[in-house]
Amino acid sequence: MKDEFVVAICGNPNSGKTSVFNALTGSHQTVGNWPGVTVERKEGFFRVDGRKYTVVDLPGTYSLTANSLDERIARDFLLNGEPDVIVVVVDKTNMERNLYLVLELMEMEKNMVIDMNMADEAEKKGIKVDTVNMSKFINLPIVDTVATTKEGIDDLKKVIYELSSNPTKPRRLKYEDRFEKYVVKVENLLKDSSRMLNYPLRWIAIKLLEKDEYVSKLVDDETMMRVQKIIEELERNYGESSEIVTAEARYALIHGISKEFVKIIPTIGKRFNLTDRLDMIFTNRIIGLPIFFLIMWAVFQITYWFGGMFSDLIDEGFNQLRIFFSNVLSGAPVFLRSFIVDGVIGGVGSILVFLPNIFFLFLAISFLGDLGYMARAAFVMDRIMHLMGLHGKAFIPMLLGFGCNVPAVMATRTLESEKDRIMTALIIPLMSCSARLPIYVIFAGTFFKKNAGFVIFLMYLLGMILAVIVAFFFRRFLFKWEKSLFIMELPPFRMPSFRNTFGEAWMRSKMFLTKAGTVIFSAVVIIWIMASLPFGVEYGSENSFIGYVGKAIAPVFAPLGFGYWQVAVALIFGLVAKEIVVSTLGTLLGGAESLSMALPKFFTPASAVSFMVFVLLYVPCIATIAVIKKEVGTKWAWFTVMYLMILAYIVSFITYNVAKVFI
Amino acid sequence: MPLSYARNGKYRVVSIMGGRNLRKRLADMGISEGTLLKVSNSMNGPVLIEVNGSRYVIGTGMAMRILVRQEG
Repeated sequence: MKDEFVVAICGNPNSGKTSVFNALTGSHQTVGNWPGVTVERKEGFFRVDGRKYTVVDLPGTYSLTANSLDERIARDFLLNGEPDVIVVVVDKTNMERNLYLVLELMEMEKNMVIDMNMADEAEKKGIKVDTVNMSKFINLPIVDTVATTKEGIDDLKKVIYELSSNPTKPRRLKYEDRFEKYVVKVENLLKDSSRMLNYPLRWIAIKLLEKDEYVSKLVDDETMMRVQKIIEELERNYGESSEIVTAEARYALIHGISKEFVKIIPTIGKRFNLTDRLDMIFTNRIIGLPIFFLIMWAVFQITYWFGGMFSDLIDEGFNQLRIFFSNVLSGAPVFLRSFIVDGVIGGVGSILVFLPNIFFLFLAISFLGDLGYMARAAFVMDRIMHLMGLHGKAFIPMLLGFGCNVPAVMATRTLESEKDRIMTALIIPLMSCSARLPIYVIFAGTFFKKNAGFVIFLMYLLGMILAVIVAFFFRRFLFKWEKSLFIMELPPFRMPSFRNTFGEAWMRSKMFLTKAGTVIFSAVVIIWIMASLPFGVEYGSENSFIGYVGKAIAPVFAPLGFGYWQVAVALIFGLVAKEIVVSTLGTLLGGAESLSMALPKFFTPASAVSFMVFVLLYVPCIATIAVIKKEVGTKWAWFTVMYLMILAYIVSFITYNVAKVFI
Repeated sequence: MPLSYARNGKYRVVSIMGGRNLRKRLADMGISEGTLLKVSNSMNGPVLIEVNGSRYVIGTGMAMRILVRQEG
C-alpha cells in the first residue's frame, strides 16, 4: 500500500487558495520554481495516520485554457503531473464563476474534493448551499472551510485521506440537448479512432469543440478533419463560434446546478457593505487618483523610515564587526585582514543593509495585495498607463520599482501578454529605487542646500517622464503598435491575516537574500580582488587594478563634467549596488575630510546635477540585470544595459551643458 | 457604444471586436454577446463592471472593444 501521495490545490485567483495551502501545510513549506520558468512553485506537506501528503499550490486559473504562463503551468500539472488528489478551492460567495473550473475538472474525471472556502462570508451574505444533496448529485465530496481561521481544515484532511484510499469519479454531467448532441457525436468519432488517448474521451470531445490547441494535437489528422465538420455544423446551427458556444453551455449547466442547490436568502434590512463603501472612495473618479498617490507616499515613508531604523542598526553592527576583526587580525598578513574586513564583512554588510527596507516594502505590498487594493490601483492608473501603450495592471510592478528594481522585475510575470512583460521589465530600471536615494541626498544637500528636496523630487520625476517617452518609442518601434488588454477580478476588501501577510513578506525577503545575495556577494569579492592587486598596493588606490580601470574610463565622463578616475571607479562599483557609490566616493575623494567638504573640489553644481542624472539612468545594478535575464531572456538583458547606458550618457550630457548656462 | 464610454447603469453586450483569444478569455469569465452587465464605476476609459455576481476591472484597451447597449 502506497503511503506517499501528491495533492494539488487549484482554484480561481482570489478564492483563498493560498490560505488553504497554508492552513493545510502549516510551516512545512518550500518555494522553488517550476521547471524551465521562473513562476514560483510552492510545496508543503502534512501527515495523516502515517501517510505523507505532499501539497502543491498551483497558480490561480479561471479555466483550463492556457492563456498566461501561470495558467499553462497549472494545466500541465493537472493533466500530466498525476496528482493523487485534487483540492479545488471555490469562493463560496461567488459560486457560478468558480464552478466553471470545477466543471472542467469533473470532465477530466479527476479524483477530487470541492473546498467551499470563505464559508463565513457566504453565510453573512445569506448564501446557503445544500452541500449534502449537491455532493450526492455530482458524486464528489464537498467541504466547507474558512481557511483564514483554519475552520474545516481537519475535515478537508479527512476527505483527502479518504480519497487517497478510495478514489472516486465525479458524475458525468449532461449539457442541454442542443449542445450535448455535438459532444456525443465527437465522442463517438473518438471511440472509432485508432489513436490511444490517455484522457477521458468526453473531455477530449468538449475540448475539441472548444478548439483547444493542445488537445487538437493529440488527435490524428483524419479524425480531426471529421471533427472539423461537426464544428462547422455546430457553428451554423448556433450562428456563433464553437468555443463561445462551449463556454456558454458550461455556464448554462452551472446555472442549472446552482439553481437547484444554492439559495440566496437576502439578509434582513440593508446591510452595511464595507467593500462598496470603500470603493466609493478608492475608485472615485476624482479623488481615487490622489488617494492612490497618498497611499504610495505612505508606503515609501514606512519603507524608508522603519527600514532605515533597522538598516542603521545592521550597519552599525557590521562596523563594530569590522573594528573587532581589524583588531583581532592586527597580527595577520595585510592580505588576509583586508579580505576578511573589506571583502567578506564589507561585502556581506552591503547586502544585509538593504534587507530591512526590502522587508518593509514587501510587507506593505503584500498587505495592500491581501487587502484587495492592487486591482483598484490598476483601475485608477489605467488611463495614464494607456498613454504609454501599457495598461493599469503593468503599473503594479513599476510601482514596486521605487523600492527595489529586483522584485519589481519579478512581479512582471503576472502580466498575460509576453510583450507587456518584456516592455515593463525594460522600463522598470527608470524607476528610481531606494538605493539611489543616498547619492541624491549627499549631492543635492551639498550643492543645493535649501532646494535639495526639490532637486531630489526632480530626479524621481525625470525617471518617470523618461519611462513614458521610452515606453512610447518601444511600443512604436520594438513591439509594434498593439493595444494591450486587461481584465482583472476586483476582489472584495478583506482584512489581511497577519500570518499570511508577514509570511509572504518574509519568504520574498529570503528569496531576495539568496538570489541577489549570491550575485552581489560574488561581485563584491571580484571588486575587492581588483582593488587589492597588485600585491602591496593600498586598497582601492590609483595604482590598484581598479585604479587603472578608472583612469582608462575617466576621459569618457569628461564631457559630462566628472572625468575623474575616482568617480569612474565609484560608478563601476555602483554596478554592484548603487549605495556603494557614496561609500566609494567617500574613501577615494574624502580621505580624512568629510565627503560634503571634498565634493566642491571636484564638482560644480552643474556637474553635480549631471552626475545625479547619470546615476539615476545608468544600469541599476547587476542584480536587476540578472533578474531581467531570468525573466525575459539574455537578449533583452543586454538590450537593457545598452539602452540605459546610451540614455544616461545623452541625458547627462544635455543636462550638464544646459545647467552650465543657468547655474 | 464602446463600454469605455458607458456611465453607471445596466448594459447588454452587443458585440466583442477581437480575436479568438480575447473572446475566449471573456467567455471564460461569463462575458459574451448578449450578456447583461452592470457598470458600477468608470473613469473615461477603464470601467468597473459586475456580471453574474463577480466584479471586474476592465482596462481602457479592452473596454474599447466591447460594444454595449444601454438596458432600461
